Amino acid sequence: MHWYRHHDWAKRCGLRRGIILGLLSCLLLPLGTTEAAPDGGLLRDMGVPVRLKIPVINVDAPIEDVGLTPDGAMDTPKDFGDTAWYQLGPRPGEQGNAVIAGHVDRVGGEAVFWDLRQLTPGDEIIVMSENGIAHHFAVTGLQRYALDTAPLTEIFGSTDGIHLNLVTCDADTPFNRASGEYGGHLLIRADAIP
Amino acid sequence: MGLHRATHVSVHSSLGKPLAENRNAMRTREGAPQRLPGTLGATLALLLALFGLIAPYTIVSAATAPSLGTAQSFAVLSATGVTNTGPTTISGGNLGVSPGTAATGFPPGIVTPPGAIHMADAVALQAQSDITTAYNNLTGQPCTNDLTGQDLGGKTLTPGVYCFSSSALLTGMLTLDTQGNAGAVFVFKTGSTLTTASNSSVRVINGGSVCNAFWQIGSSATLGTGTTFVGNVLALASITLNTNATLSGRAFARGGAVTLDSNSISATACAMLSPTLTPTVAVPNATQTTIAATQTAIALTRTVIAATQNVPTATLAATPVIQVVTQSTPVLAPPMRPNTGAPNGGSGNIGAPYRIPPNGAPSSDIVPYNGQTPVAALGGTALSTPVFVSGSPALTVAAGTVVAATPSPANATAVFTATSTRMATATVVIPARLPNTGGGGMATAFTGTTDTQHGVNIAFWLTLTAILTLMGVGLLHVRRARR
Repeated sequence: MHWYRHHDWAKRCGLRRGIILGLLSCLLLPLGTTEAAPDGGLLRDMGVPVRLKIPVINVDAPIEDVGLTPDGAMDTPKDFGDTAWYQLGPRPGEQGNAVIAGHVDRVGGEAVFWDLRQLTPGDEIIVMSENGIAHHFAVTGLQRYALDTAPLTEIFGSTDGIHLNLVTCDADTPFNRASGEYGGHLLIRADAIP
Repeated sequence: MGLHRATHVSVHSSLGKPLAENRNAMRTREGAPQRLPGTLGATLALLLALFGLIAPYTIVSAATAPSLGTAQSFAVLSATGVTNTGPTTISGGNLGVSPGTAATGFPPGIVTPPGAIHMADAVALQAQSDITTAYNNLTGQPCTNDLTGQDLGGKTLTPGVYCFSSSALLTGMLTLDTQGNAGAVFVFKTGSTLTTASNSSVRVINGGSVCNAFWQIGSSATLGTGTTFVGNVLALASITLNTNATLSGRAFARGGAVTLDSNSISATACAMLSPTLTPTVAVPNATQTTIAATQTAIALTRTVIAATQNVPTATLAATPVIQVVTQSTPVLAPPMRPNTGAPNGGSGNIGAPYRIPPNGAPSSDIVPYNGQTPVAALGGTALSTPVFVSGSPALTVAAGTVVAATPSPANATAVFTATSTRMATATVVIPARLPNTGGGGMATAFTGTTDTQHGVNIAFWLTLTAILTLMGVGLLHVRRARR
């Protein structure tokens, strides 16, 4: 394993590679964060959410932006380690129900929301937005719904408060291999902590 | 520009002008070398330039407005009596009867103060006398166009004296285009009656007083139900306004009665200026933009040409705040002229902001937006004060949006940019289903043999594994046997 330590060239290459990568990331990272500057706003711009952290279950995952699938369902994250914010609704931290989904598992292993069912009221959820704001939420409840019985308007619709809803599949229900779906969904509801 | 001057030139339609001449005219106007020498050439070039500009119109000598004398202060005047039914409103002038003595139906009809009812008094008598003078003046004006036998509906007329040897009929809309001349006058003379069909209308466009139209009626005038009429009607006999007809102007019956039914007669409107429209320009409808709830801003850029066209609408998925940010430079012309008549004072071509009427609303809905200070944007600079209009979801940006001002020169184009800033109360798109976030089903026993989501057929893999194992075992046996 450590054979290359005896070769100066290898060491230098490694170092150099590190430096180059560092420089590159310095150059490239700002490109990714300069999107959609606030327009001089009448309201505070919450920014697009970019990272979800749930310390008690060791979740620290990137957030993708998703919309609808062709058949009208909320889309899923492209990566099993990512979460997905429903971009046709409010942003986390804005008034209304912001929704973030994640996979519960994948073929052969767990996915980002595997431990979501372990959350209990009071647990903290943090959503980082592109402009560096951390929005803090506290879990208020966990609900399970059989397939296609979830109250969608309640989960996605407008509301006075600032809410965050985390959605995943309910891995405690039978998995239907024919349809590729579990028998239900699991929903974590959270409210903004002022 | 040369448009109002054109009304003084006594030449006739240029509709049939060869295209080449028009093109030549345009070139000359743009300063290309003139081929004709001297003043004659220049004059001809000017005339041709005018042809090119006013091709769609028939050029006539100007009609003149007769003095109404003391009758100016009357909105309704009758010789024999006024009979009203329903909630008629007479504003901006008096109601008078002379020599008759009857005015019935007031109330429910009202004459709004300071207007009063003058019943067979000296004021009404003098007004009748002045009307006779005005009527005779109109009779004496030479016709510039004979429209006998033609329906006024659908016509767009420029200032002039239009004559009907017998009756005149209006079915639909008559447009009176002042061509930007605030003093433009339209005179209509009929040998007998004037009749308008139900819901007919007369509108005045491109500036000028909305009631600088004079109707000299040889016998009686009847405005059909729901008709929107404009001008001073001077009838030799009687005038009848059927149910809900409105008149921006005055009704003078020299020899007979005035009969009203739930009408609005407003001489006040005579002080107002008509909106500037370019009715002949066809403008494609604006595209509808849907603003996602997640969007912070959207720019709506739209060229506004006519007040009657559709302006951009944005279906907002969130409660929007529309901010009119900039106006393009240069602003060549106004989408319409602000109605600077009564509320703002002043005259004509000034740059008070105004509202665009809601889609489909009649041009009369263009009103000055009094809450705003006049924009210093006459030359096309940015609006001095951003204007905010808030509304519920699916707000139409057009309705009530103050876009700009400014009228100089006429008939050009103003461009505005509106930016919406999203507020937090979002109306979101509710998905039809929750996402399918179950990737592999590792948590439970299989309930089937095919994982369609990942395209894996469990039975197939099991079979394949079994076959490979058997082959391996077989191979080992063969090797051992060889040794």
